[in-house]
Amino acid sequence: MTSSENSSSATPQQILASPEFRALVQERRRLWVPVVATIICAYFGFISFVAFAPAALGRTFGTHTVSIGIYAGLALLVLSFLLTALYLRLSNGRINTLLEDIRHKFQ
Amino acid sequence: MDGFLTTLGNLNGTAVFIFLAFVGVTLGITHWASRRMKTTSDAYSAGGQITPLQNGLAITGDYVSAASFLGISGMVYMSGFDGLIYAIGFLVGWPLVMALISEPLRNLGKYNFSDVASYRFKARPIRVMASFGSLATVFCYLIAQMVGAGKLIEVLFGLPYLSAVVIVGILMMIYVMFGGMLATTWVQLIKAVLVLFGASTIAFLVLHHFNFSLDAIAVAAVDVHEKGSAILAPGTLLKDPVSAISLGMALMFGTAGLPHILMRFFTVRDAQAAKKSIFYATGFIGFFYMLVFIIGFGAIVFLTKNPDFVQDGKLIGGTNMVAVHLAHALGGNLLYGFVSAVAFSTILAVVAGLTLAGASAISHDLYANVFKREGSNDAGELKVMRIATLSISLIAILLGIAFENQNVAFMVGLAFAIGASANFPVILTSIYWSRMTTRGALAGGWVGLGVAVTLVVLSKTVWVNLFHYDAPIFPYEYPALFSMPLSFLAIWLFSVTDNSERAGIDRAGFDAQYVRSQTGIGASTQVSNH
Repeated sequence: MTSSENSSSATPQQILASPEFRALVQERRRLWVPVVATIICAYFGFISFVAFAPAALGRTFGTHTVSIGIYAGLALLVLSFLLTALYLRLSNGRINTLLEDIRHKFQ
Repeated sequence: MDGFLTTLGNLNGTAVFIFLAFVGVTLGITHWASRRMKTTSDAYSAGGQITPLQNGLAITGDYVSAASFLGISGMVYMSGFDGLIYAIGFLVGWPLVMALISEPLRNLGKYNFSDVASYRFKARPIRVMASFGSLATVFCYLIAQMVGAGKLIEVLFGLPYLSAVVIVGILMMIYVMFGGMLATTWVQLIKAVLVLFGASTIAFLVLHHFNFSLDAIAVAAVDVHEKGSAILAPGTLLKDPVSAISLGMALMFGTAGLPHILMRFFTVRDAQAAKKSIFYATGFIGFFYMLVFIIGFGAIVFLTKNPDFVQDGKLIGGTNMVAVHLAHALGGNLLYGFVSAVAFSTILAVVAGLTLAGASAISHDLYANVFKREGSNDAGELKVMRIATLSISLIAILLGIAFENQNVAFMVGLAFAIGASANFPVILTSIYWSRMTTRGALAGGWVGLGVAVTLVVLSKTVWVNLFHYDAPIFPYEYPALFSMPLSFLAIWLFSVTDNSERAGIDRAGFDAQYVRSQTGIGASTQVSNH
């Protein structure tokens, strides 16, 4: 097996200063900040209801028997999956192009 | 031995057949993998040649323990909604792992998260700290699984507890010692397919009975459960807000600090493949928890007051048997046998992953990078990895025997708490915070580990239930709300006040690390040449 250590000729500082790298970091931030914020808010929002207002989660709407809390819980499971799917999908676009540019330019 | 054979004779034929088939196939795979296991790269990361879909399934097999399958369905059966809190907590960490950890981790590391934590810091002390964090997580998890396995197999197969624990210990040792990551991956992958198939079948039978209406199931469950409609709201699991938030933090951030899970990101080609594996894994795990939830509610309907499964108002074999009994009630002997065998295979896959993570902490961190840094060679490290596997398996068997009559349910919670408090803060800050130093990393890791363990020891589960003192010193059950922020605080405080010579090197190393973590330039690319 081969394990290539840092073999690039450019210094990290050169890459850091390049417009492509700055664009990459910015694109990533535009993606991870909303994903992380959404899941943390959603989950700790749910946990706050469990902690401070459990009865509210037991309420039902309309003629349903399944409570709001259970729908919310199942929705959180779906949300977790959708967020990872969204992250994967969106990070495949411009971020990958930028990554290729950087690798092409510096490696 | 005669007793053993008679016991086997009385067992469900399907269960014995499927279990023996699983063991046969996995040992065959181990034999095949053993001939390909020549380097440490093969042993720790299967040469990086696992595909994203395979790895996604293997992560599922590694993550979904018997505690998830049997424990959560049992919790839903007992108190409805509360089981859902755990199921959600086990899943919400994954988007975080995806967005914050997976790419930098894969780009910076080679085999495990210690590689990342020690990337720009003074390697020896960081590796010692990280390997202790790993081993603490691994052993807590392992004890819970071993004791659970022994009890479960006692009930399912009628085997004595001792032989059950020994069988599990020997099988996991064989997988890891001879087959390394390649065999472990396949054991986990096959188990994931089996457990998803088994759970889908039971859930389908439940849904089919109610014409696929969740509401109809809920009506029937509320009707028959002694707590009535209270099962649709939070109950007694979390007694106070502090416990609720503390448990929530441990579950959410703990996933990002479980060494046996993080290790799986190095079994694929690159960071992109690691992200894809997480996508698959989150899908499978989320789907699985939905099934478990339906299974739990189905069990309320079909098992409560069912004289075949309930004796003196209690479920035969305890609430961990919910999924297995429901399989029996809905699918007869065939499904019962199948699900029993799957439950056993579930345990084997998880303990194999844990053993491998523990062994790599000893051979890759402590041996190769701490004690024998100069002139350590690959063959020597591989030998140490095998010895470590043997030792961990023996210790796990002994601990399994020692803890036989203890309630070890808190051990999985403790593993997640240590993951969230000792491993996660160090991983996150070492990747993203430029001013962090070796001293800060060490302080954070040791504080997180020490506080998490101390608080659990001082809490009711250990101080009162295990040591029989009158009152707990720490009034809550879950430590993460305190231990995780303290770890971050220690990292910050001991980094910003660090003016040592080493601190200069640590900070100067950030740029190169940041570029590599973001771009993957210079990242470890493993190509097996056989």
